[in-house]
Amino acid sequence: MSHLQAPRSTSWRAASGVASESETDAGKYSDATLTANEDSSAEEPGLLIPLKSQSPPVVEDEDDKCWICFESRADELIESSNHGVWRKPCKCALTAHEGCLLDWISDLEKTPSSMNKPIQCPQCKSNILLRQERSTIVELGKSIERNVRRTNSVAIVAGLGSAFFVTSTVYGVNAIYLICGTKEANAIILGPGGRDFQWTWRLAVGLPVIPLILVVSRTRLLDATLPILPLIFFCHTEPFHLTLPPSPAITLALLPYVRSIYEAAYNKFLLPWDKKWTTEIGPTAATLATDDNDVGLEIQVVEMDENEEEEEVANGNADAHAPVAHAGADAGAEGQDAWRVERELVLGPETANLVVGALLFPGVVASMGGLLGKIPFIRKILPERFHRNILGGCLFVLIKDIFTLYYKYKRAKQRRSREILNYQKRAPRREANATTGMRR
Amino acid sequence: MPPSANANASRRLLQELSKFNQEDNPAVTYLGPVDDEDIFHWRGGLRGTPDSPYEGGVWDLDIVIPDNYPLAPPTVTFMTKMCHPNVHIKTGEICLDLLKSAWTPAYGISSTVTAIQALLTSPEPDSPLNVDVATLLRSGDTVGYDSLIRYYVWRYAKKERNTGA
Repeated sequence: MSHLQAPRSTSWRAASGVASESETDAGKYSDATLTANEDSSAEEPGLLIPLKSQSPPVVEDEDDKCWICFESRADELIESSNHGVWRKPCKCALTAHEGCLLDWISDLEKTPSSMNKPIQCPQCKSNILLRQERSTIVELGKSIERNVRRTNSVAIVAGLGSAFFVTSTVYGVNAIYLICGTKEANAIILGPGGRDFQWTWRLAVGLPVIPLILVVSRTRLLDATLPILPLIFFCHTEPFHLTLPPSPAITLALLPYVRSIYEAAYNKFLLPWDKKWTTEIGPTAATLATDDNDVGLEIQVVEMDENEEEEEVANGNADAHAPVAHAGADAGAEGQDAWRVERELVLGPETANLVVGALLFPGVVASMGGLLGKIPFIRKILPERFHRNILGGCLFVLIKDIFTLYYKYKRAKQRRSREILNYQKRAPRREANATTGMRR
Repeated sequence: MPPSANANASRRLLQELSKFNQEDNPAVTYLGPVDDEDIFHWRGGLRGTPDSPYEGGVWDLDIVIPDNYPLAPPTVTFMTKMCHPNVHIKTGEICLDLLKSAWTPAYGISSTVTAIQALLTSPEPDSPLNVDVATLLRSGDTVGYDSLIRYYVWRYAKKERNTGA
């Protein structure tokens, strides 16, 4: 057996003696395959596709062991294996059967993450070169797979984006119809005659922006720009003239200012009390208010109500007419929250409240307007549904703020009235037990 | 395909077994199939690293080998209670990349046990299975860490106890 092996060993030694040369040969060889299969090799450095007959000679040694099945050449002399010929795919000491290597590689390719990685020797981390038949169909299929994977994310983003756009637009249209009533809304969306519908940039941008602005207007992000927006969008379509009640365009342009005034008034007169009660309700509150304060509070509230009502009336009178893409938006801007701190955009349940509240606002406004429309007096003064809606929205905000404040005040008062009950003897309980026992 | 994969795995396991019986592995006290019927279920004894808190302990390992074995790693769990940041104290599960993503067929059962011994002295407290010990280690309390380990070694993994049992 040993004399059979001898020639092989010498040939291997000869080969190792000129190791550098054979390595450069191997380099040339892979270069040649590179040029032969430019496309595939450029994309997958680990996969080359030469012909089988061109494989470099494998050096042989009796001690060679397959690093996958752990069998050595010596074992094969005793019992033949079906693992194929020996391969030495890299410059380090690892040798293996071709069959074992192929099994290992196809197992590696099963995990999708390693699919596009070059196959590396586990020891020296050099790439293992692999040859396979060149097939146009396989190449085509692979490139399609790759491209599909790449375009999927783009398609998903685009799909979600357009879905969002469509939803926003539909929401915007609905908001306009809710706020302005059918007649006005038709005029806004379909054009003055209701027939020559044109998809103008104002509609394309304005409609989907409505829900966004509704939500954003609940935060302080747009405080500076909101008053200007309606002017940019709509006011240059009509000459500016005051009527009573004012046109929707002017109403909408005025609303952000009304809102700012209301907010300023609220912050000046009511915010201190609001804060005080809030901290009192809060877990760290341990304050006892005097009676004087209570009286003061109530006076303040009353005063504030009057102020606000004046404002609202002014708003209602100032109501005007026109474009709508912003009707919803500005109505949303009206719905400011009770306390400025709440208007910070924070992620969490508050954000959900804020978004839902903002998006429901047009509906609330419309139903308030509908309620107002039931009152004959208001119907007479404000024949247009739009004006009743705006007034209704303002009233809603006002009522909500008053209720919120009153609720806080009541809670604070309740907190102050708390006292601890003394322990009472169990006598009453026993009686209760006795009665239940008797019932049994 | 499965039968041939199974046959390949058995052949390789037999190779490993005979090689282990020829060469000594200082990290291993004993290693082999639980019974002659099933070559895919092994048991082994892991020796605690010398000059470490684990010195003197011997832990029984349960080694389950998959059908596509050299391609997929064996599943190794501690049967003796082991106090180590990367070992689950109750299930004996081991968090070691070699047993998951970093496995290659070039490793064997015996060298896997060696790698587990190496894990004893180079724990990865950032991916802990035993948060309590990992916290000790991360907070720099090496005295507490070492003595806790020594206690567990004394309590559960003393060689005398194991052989006596």
